[in-house]
Amino acid sequence: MSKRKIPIAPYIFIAPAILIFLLFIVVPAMEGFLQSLFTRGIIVRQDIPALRSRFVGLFNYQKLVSDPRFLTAFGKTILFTLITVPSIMVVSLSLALLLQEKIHGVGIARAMVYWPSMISPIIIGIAWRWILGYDTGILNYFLTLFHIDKQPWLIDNARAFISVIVVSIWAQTGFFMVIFIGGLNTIPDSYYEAARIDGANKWQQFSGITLPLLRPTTLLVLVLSTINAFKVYQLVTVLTSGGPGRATAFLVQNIYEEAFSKPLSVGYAAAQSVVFFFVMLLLSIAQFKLSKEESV
Amino acid sequence: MKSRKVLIGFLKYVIVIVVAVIFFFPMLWVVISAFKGESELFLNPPRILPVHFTLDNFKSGLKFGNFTQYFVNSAYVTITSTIITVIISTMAGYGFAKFKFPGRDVLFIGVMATLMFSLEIIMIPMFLTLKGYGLINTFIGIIIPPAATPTGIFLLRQHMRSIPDELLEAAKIDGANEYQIFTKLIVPLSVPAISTLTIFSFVWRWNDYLWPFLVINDDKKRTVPLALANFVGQYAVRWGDLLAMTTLSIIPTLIIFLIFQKYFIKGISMTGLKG
Amino acid sequence: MKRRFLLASIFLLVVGIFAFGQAQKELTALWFYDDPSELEFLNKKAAEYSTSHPGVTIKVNTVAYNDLFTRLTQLVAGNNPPDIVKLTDIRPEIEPFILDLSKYHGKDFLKPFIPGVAAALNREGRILGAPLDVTANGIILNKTLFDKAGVAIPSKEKAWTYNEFLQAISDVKKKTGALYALVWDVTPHRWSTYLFENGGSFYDSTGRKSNFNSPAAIQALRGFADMFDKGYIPKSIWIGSENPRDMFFSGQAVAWMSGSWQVKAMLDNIKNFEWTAGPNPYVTTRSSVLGYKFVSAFSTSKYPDIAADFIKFFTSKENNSDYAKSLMTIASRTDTGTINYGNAQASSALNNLAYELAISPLPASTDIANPVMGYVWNTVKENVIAVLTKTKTAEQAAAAINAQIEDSLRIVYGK
Repeated sequence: MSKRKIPIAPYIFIAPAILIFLLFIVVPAMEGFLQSLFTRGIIVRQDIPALRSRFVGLFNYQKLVSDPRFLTAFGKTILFTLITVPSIMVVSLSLALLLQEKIHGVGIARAMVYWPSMISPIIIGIAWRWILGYDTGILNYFLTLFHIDKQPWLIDNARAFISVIVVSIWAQTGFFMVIFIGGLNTIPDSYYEAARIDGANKWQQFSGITLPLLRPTTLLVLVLSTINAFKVYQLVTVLTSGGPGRATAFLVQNIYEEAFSKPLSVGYAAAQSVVFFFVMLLLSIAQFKLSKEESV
Repeated sequence: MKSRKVLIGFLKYVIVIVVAVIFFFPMLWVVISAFKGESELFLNPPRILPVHFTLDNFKSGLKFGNFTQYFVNSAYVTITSTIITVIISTMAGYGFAKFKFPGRDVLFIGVMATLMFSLEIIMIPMFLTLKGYGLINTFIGIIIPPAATPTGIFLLRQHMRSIPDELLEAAKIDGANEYQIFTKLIVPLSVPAISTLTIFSFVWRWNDYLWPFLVINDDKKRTVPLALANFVGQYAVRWGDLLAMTTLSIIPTLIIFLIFQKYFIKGISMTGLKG
Repeated sequence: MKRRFLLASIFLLVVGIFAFGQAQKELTALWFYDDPSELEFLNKKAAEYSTSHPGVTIKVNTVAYNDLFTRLTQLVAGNNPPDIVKLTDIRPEIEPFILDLSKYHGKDFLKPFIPGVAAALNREGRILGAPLDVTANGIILNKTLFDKAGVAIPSKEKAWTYNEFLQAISDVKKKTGALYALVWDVTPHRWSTYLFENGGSFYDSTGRKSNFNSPAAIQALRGFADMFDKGYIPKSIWIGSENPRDMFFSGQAVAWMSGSWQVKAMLDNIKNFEWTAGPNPYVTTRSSVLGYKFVSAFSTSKYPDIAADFIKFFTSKENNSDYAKSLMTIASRTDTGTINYGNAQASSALNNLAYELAISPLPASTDIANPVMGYVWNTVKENVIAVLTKTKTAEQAAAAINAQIEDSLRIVYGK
């Protein structure tokens, strides 16, 4: 491939996508970056004194270094990501291996696992609130049937954090399972046949063929699930609204509240978004480099 | 030996069913609750099956607003947007996977970086941008901008990396041009990834709330999720209507999933190699 | 001949377009609602208005309440706000764009309306909207459970102290096997009822200074937490995320702190028990809390005169009492007379709540209408919960709320 001298073709292939990104994401995103250098509200009118914006340089960035709300939300987001990402990878890969089998009705089973991805996070949050509620929740109801004490799932800080993690994993597994199934399909059967003839057992086949050949898909799942975990917002807002207290208040919620429920804080919220963006970008680049895939 | 195989097969079935039920139960509850009256929804202790089975929620939900119109709007937007998504993601995925060209890695990271914006946060600049292009209150405004999805491009790129370069070289030696290689070789070999993306894109667009919210403020052009949001009021949620309409709105995505998941057939991508 | 025909048709077409263009003055209204019958009511009145004002149409667009502010800021930022809008408060970002109705209807336009709301919408002589209805916070009781337990509910004139009230509801709970004695809406607005009942307030009488660092405010934070600690209010609602309304509707709660807006929903949905409103318990002061919705116009409208006129029409004596009647809310005008809601239970509940509101102290309406309140509510809620979860003492929480009030006042008013 590398011998091509004037590669015009690839630019044509990527042009439509790049054009849309430039027009619709990059333009407003630049505006977002600019906002972070101002003290300003949601609406700016220089002719109305209360709605003026003021250039403050890097002041907003200095402010967030010592803002406990921001730092706590940041730390919680990291912790959340560190737990959910590996869990999602293990669970969705296991399910993909299980549900790629050609057994009767497997399509229905896949649909059932994928089902949570078909529904808006609002409904998912509601359904789980019914399950995890202390007094009206069905999980506690089942526990009492087995004479186990009711658990304060969404009331106690640690349990609420765990609940949010479990629900996030549950909600995304189907999506990543589908991606893994797609990846598994690209591995030719002949490799497994050859291995079987050589006497390799199931585990040897998995570690010797499946895992290495699945690497592009694994990277895909790793990067996407990390970004998803970092951006967690809607599901948590519906499930716990960041509570109890601020036990499950993550970064995006913090930024959103900063922008919309405090006066003249849009610039500060934008500064948080910029930091947020670069942390995610660095993380993704690191994941690409670590997978050694970019150098191909 | 044979009985052992049967046993393993049986066990697999049991595991599959258990897993499916665990994942499905919460959503099953949503669907069942759509057939309950309001006062039955929050009983303590809770009850799974409705005491009085009722279709009232569906009737009152459909009566409200013009749901037929919203379903038509959603279908139009979702289908066109998904077609565009599949085309441009397949093209871009190919460009990134099978060519080496100056700026490739930077551009690809740039594409991925667009995933890292939370639309919630840049909503007002985004709105002003769309307004600048004259796209407010147009279907094009909900169809085109979200059609380019980094996830789709990434998915197709990763899939295409597993297509052996020798196949492309062979086609080139046979005198195929870039266009022919793409349509006759790459696209057929990418059917599993394309069907995966079709499912994803359909679900995203069908359930999307934020883009339509940004673009549409004319009630007649609303999509289903926008209409569903109106069941959440200032003081209370109209559970019955919300659950019933949510249940209805899942049906199209379910059908799409069941149709397209058939193409996840093992080995399909390698037919080219063997043949 | 042909040419003349062509000319004639072009002429007719031009005249037609011109006449049509003349005739069609379309105004947009942005509306949120809980009960779909409100939308029907609005559309009906809009159609009536079009009939009496040929050539004017009012097009209604809706938005979910949670998205109202986001939608409005978008439209204002894009220089394209609706002509008419239903609101619950006017945030400082929006205020400069609101039409001053006094220019069209005079300084006394709000005279016939309930004074607390009228004052809230009058900003230094500018009239920013016309009230649609008012709401009153109050205790709603499961009367069937009280009757079953043989516990009496005092008259609205006599009322009860919190001690008497809590004793009564726990008696009822014990005797009937109900699951919850008291459930309390998870909003800072509903919590503020308890603040005012303790004799506290958010601001001083000028509205430009915080009054939150007061013993009454600290006591309100502490006393509220006590009701959870002593088991009167289940922790699962304020600290968890269970919904008080659902608990009450299922017949398992004895008392519920909510308000007048629930009356229609209760009438429509509660079939298996009887309910009644109030009297509100008190600590030092009997109080409800005012809430209201109003309709405003934007000064950017192409037809500000029509927008202002429609608002006058929609909040006229007849239409306002129709509105209150069909949505079972408390009318925002004082000249509507007693409204017959067509149902004894609803009428009695609404009358009780209106009575509670009428005897409430001044801050229970003026504080709520304070322009910076929109920036304060979130902090109040967070800190009330912080006291409940014991992450803050009542004193620390009061100090935090106080600081937020002072900061917001400073940013909005300068200095």
